[in-house]
Amino acid sequence: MDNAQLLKGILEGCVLAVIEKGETYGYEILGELEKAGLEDIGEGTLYPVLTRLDKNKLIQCRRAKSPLGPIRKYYSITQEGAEYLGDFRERYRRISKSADILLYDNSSEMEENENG
Amino acid sequence: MVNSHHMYIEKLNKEYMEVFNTISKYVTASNMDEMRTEETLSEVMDTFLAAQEAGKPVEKVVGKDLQKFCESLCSEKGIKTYILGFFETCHFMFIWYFLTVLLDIHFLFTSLLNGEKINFFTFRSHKDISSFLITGIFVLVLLYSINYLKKRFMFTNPKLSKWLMPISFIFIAAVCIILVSFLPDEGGENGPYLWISLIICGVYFIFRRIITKDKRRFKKENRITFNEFLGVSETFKNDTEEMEMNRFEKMNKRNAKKGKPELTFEQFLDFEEKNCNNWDKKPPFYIALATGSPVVFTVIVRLMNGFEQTYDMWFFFFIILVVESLLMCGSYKIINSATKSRLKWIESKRKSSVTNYQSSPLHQQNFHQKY
Repeated sequence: MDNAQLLKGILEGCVLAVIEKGETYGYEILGELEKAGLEDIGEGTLYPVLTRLDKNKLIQCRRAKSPLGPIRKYYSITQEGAEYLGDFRERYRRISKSADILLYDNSSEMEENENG
Repeated sequence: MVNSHHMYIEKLNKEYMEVFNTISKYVTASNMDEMRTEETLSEVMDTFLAAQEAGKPVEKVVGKDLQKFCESLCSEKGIKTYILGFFETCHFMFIWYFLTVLLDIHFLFTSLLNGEKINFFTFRSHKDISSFLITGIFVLVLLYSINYLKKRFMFTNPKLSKWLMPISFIFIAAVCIILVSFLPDEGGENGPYLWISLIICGVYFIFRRIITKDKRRFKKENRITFNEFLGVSETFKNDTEEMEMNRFEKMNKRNAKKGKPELTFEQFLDFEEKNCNNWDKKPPFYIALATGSPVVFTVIVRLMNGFEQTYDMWFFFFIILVVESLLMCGSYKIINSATKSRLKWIESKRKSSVTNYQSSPLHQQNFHQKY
C-alpha cells in the first residue's frame, strides 16, 4: 500500500501543526515534515494541502520577496485553524488508540500504561 | 514591472532548469488565470532555488513521478481560477472588437467632417460581426484543444507536444486571415449599431476591472523597479567588467592594425567617460527622436499623397507620436541604466588604480626621495 493513501487524512493536521509554531513558508514546512520522518512529501503534495487550508480559512498567507528573489508565500494559522487543530488532535488520539488496539492487540498493555 | 519567476530561471542548474521548464509548460497549459499561474510557478521556483542551495537533487523535491507532481500542483485550485483564465483567453476578442469600434468612431468623425448628416443612434458598423465571432470562437476552441493535447502528450510524446504550439499558431493565423478577409462582406452598413458596441465594450471593461482586482493588487504588491530587474535578471544582466575589458582589447587590436600606439588603461578610461557623457546618452536626444520622426514620417506620407483629409494626417501623426514616445522612453531607460553602471565601473577602476599606485613600492620610493 502506498504511504500517500495513509497520509492523506492526517497531512492537513500535520501541516497545520507546523504552521502553528510560527509564520513559515513552503520549503521550511517540507523541511519540518522531513525532520519528523515524513520524507516522501514533496512540494506537489504539500502545495494542494496549503491551498485547501487557505481556501477553508484555516491559514492565512502574505506574499513577500524571498531572500533568494522570487515571490514567497508566508503562512500563519488563523483562529479557526487553531480550533480545528485542537479538534483534530483529539480525534487523532482516539483513532490512533483504537487502531493500535486492532493492529497490535496490545489493549491490555495500553490500559496498564494509562492506569500508571 | 512585476517580480516574476522568469527572472530566476538562469539561476537554476541544468538539472533543475529542465524540470522547471517542464513544470512551467504544464502549469501554463492548465488554463488557470495569470495570477495563480505566476503564484504557483514562483512558489516552485523559490523551493527549487532553496533546494539547489542546500545541495538536494531535484528528485528529492518533485519525487519520482513528475507528471503526478504537476497534476497535484494544479489540483485544488477551484473553479474561480478557470473562469478567470477563460476571460483572460477571451480578452484578445474584446480588444479586437474594441479596435473595430475605434475604427467606426474614426469613420463617424470623417463623415461628420465631410458635412454628412449622421444620426448617432442609427450609425452602424461597416464590418460584419458574424465573421468576427466565428473567428473568435474558433481560436478559443483551438487554444483550449492545444492546451489539452499539450498536457496529454507532454510526458508520453514530448516531441509532438513541443511542435504542437508552433504548428497550431500558423494554422490559427491562416484561418483568421481567411475568415476575416475572405468571408463575403456584403458591403454597406450591416454591422452592429455603434452605440450598442460602445455599451458592450464599456460593460466588458468595467466587468474586467472588477474580476481582476486581486490580480492588480498582486502586481502592485510585487512590483520591482527597472534597475532591480536589471540587477536580478541573468538574461538582461549587464556584465560591465567583461564588456569594458573586451572593448579595451578590441580598441587596442584595431590600433595595432592601423599602426597607432596602444592605449593605456588610463587613456581608455578617459575615452569611456567621454563616451558616456556624449549627446546620444542625454534625454533631449530621445525627446527629439520621439517628436522628430513622426514629423518626418507624416511629411513623407503627405508628399506621397497618402492622406485623403487633414484629419487622417493628424490621426496618423498622433499614433506614430505615441508609439515613438513609448519606444524612446524604453530605450532611454535601458541606455541610461547601462551608462550609469559604466560610469560607476570607471570610477571604481580609477579609485583602485590610485590605491594600488599609492601602495606600490615605486610610489613609496618616490615619496621618500621627495620628502
